Amino acid sequence: MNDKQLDALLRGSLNNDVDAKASALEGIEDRVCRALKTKFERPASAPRSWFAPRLRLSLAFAGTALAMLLVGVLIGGNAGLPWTNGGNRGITFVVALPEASSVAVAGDFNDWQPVALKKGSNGVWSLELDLSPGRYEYAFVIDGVAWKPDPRADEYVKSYGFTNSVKYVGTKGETS
Amino acid sequence: MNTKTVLLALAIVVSLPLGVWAASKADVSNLVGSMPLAPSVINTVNAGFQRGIDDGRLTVDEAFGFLQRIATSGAAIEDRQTILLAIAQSLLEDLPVEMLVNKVDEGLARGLPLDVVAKEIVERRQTLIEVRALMAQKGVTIQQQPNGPGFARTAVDAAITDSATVLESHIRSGKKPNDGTLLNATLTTLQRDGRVPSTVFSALAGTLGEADLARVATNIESRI
Repeated sequence: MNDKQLDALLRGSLNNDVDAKASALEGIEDRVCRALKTKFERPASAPRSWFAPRLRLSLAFAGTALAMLLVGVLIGGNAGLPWTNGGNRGITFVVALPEASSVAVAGDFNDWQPVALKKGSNGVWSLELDLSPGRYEYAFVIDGVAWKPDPRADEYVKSYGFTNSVKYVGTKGETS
Repeated sequence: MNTKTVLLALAIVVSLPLGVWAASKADVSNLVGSMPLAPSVINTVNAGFQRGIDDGRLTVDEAFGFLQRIATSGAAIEDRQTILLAIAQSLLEDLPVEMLVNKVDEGLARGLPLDVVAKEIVERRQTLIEVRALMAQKGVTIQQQPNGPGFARTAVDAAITDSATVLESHIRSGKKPNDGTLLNATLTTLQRDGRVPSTVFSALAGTLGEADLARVATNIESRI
């Protein structure tokens, strides 16, 4: 047997093999689908399950979280939801004090407990607070010791002998 | 980690930002009871703050926070008692206490002696009483029944507080009670305060007179 004859024999054998395996694969998709359907088909009486088991577990956690949220709201009473502010608006306090090492604002809106402003460029300090409509007295606390009025206040009043700034917040949150 | 632990952790994480662990009315009562005050004073202070919480003039958190600041102030108990009684009596008498609470907080924050603060609170409480009487004369009272005469409590309280604040600030700034500027200053403040509805403003704008306000301001001048 020469090389050509050997090559033809091998090719013929391989072709036969491939043909045999190809015929075995015919209709395999249908057969797999039928087999799966038989294996996982629900009985006719079983209730329809909307979600896969893993999805159901996730929804259970989400439902628990929602329930906790609602309980929190009910028990929390006046605390309110964090993403609502009852019609409050952001009011920005701004003061230019390049030499100050800290600036805070204290007033009627925060029980006079100083809250720090953030220092921006050119020594301008600022802070935005959510305030409900009303009239507020306040002062800036410079370097933790000096209480100073706001140069941009709506008006000024005397209190305990000191000058307090006054800011008005309207129903739409704008300062007047 | 078992399911209960997971749920508890989840409950804490979810509820903390919502204030689930905030103070209760019982906490307010216990805090008052923990102060070295006479039993009759404790009863009055408790009754006042509970009433203020019930009718919405104070939230539980505001009441608890304020009482805590008084309790930890380290000032003489007589001065703390004077302040607490002035505010509790005001709450029991249906007066707004916002101005009084704010002035106590300001005094504490500024590090003022509490006897100075107490004196000012007692004086300002008298101003609130006189301004409320003036408002009532002008038809601005709290509505007691649905569809009855009067206005919402928040509106009336804001009008009383603002007017009293204007008069107090005027006199404490060294101005005279009869300088002819009180009516304009009061109406301007009421108009600018977003809590005073136009109905209340209109009722006062049409009836309030300079002499009415000057009379109260004169009384303030005589007290301070």
